[in-house]
Amino acid sequence: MKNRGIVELSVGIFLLIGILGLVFLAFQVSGLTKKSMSEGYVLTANFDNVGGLKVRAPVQIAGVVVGRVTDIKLNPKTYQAVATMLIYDNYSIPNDSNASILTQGLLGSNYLGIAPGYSQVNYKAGEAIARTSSALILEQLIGQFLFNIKK
Amino acid sequence: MTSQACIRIDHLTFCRGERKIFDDLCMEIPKGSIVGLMGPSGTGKTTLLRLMSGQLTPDTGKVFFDDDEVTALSRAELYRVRKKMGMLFQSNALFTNLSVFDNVAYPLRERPDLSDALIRDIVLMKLQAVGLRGARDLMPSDLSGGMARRVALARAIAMDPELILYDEPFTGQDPISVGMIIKLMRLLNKSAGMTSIIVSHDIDITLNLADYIFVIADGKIIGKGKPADLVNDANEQVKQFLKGLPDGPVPFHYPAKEYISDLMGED
Amino acid sequence: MYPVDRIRALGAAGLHFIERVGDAGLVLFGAIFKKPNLRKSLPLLIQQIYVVGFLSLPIIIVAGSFIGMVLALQGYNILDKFAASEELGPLVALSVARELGPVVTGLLFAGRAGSSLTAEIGLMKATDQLSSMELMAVDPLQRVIAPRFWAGFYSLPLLTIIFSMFAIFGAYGVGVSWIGLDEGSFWSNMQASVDFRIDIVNGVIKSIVFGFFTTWIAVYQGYACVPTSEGISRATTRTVVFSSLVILGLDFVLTAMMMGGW
Repeated sequence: MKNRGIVELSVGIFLLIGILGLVFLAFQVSGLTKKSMSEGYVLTANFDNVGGLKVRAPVQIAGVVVGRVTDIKLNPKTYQAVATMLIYDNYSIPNDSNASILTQGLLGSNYLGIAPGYSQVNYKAGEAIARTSSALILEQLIGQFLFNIKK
Repeated sequence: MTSQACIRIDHLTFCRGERKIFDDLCMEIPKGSIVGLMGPSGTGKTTLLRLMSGQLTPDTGKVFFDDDEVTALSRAELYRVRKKMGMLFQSNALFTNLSVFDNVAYPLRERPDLSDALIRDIVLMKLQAVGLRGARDLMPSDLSGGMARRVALARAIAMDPELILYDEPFTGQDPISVGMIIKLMRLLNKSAGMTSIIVSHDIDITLNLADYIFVIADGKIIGKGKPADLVNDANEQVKQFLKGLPDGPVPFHYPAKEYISDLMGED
Repeated sequence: MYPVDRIRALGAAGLHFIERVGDAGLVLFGAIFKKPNLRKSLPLLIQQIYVVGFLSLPIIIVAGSFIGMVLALQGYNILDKFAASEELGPLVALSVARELGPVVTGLLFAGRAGSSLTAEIGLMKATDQLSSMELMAVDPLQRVIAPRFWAGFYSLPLLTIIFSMFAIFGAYGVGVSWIGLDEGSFWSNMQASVDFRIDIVNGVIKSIVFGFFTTWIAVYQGYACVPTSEGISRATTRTVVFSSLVILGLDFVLTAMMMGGW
């Protein structure tokens, strides 16, 4: 009980190191930035084939992450895949842009890339991106290749 | 109506698992007296103390402390009643991380109405009563056995209880410490009027010290009375216990086969 | 007749186990769901956080650093074969933040702090200190058990964060300073692969759950032990064994839940 001061100081240091550790893990390790914490608006896009695109895959323009895929569902009427994405508020997407499903590197995971158009009008929340390119499926490519060779 | 009995036990039965520790026990402890509880080891004398303080609940029967029925109290009420009781444990039960002063002050600090200055005075007075005022800053690990017991006693009387329970206070103590404890017990009883219940194996001291004695064996009271009367009691078990005879109702030999046939290796 | 006896014994053991779990629940309930006396409880809590948390720092920091360093070493060895050595940062960060951080810290905590809590409380029970508190109208559940429980519950997440931090430092030291990987890509690849909410926060959530169960087990085993020296030693062993099994079991359950996307 006499060294109460030392005990309290140590507990304070302990808590401080813990909080600093959390800050370190947040920013230096996981790259938490102000942008990723900000809100965004929702857009959708229809694809014939989403390939290996997963929920939480990044949405990129010119290689910069501008949003995340939040949901992938099947439209029961058109039998197309509907990908829902969250675009961060500080990015706007012209309404003649093209959304395609691309691969990171050669064998990496899929992401949703948007090639911007030239329109002055941007997509508003809830709208669907009109132009889409589906994912390239390796088996289909090989099939086409073999078919072409046979000719 | 205030009774003359400090503790009254009505038809108490207590079992631990299959074993019946107490069977329909009735006992009355008059106020302001020194009472000895004696008996062979394992009869559950410590258990009886715990039943009196409400730490254990009997299967049937009631325990009365003053006018409160201990067995019927809620936890909060029990705590209130316990403030009038003090207990000296066989192991002293001092808090090893606190100094002597803090140990004695512990029960006092539970009272929000006592100022620090007042607590300090009371602690010093209690330590003075047991002769350890100068040792107030020592830690329990620095104390000898006798000193530790006296500190535990000071802590038990810190709140000036009406009743003190002593669990084997003389066991394992050197003669000087025993003498000191006896002196303190008599003092507390005569000057402060504290009812004292002593559980002990030590026949000479207890016969000398107590006003009234209960001898307990096999879950029942086999003998009770003033020390002078008890010595002349006709009960075989009481005689064996009080005289310390090695053989009698409590046999010397643990039940076994016949000696000769066992030696000859017959199965 | 003989197999029936065995089955009966198994049933009895199972019932006994459930009884103990129920008792443990009652003890916990009595310790945490009572109005706390703040003036008295806060110093006790701080004292316990010191003992349980701060004094565990040396072992946690050393263990974290070494695990980070070893992960980096072994990881580089394998990744280099795929020419993917720049992924070392993400490898270590994800392994540590998601799994090794909470689990290893939990196991170390159970071994060090858990066993000492059990032994301390068990010893207090064996020397009648808990009984004498009861007789002085002090509730030992609130005064002894509750501060230790909360201290463990608060300390383990902090210790896990510190463990992860030092593991990543260790990996940085081995990867960048010793092996010579590029510092910039070490951190940037890590930042690109580690998501705060999914990886870091989930790891912290795991450590909170582990802290709850480990401290509960440690405190209960001490409180309910047989008050002899043999009883205390068995209770201490049980704390470490049960805590470890619970940590590993819950880790699987939590990981499955988290991967299912919650």
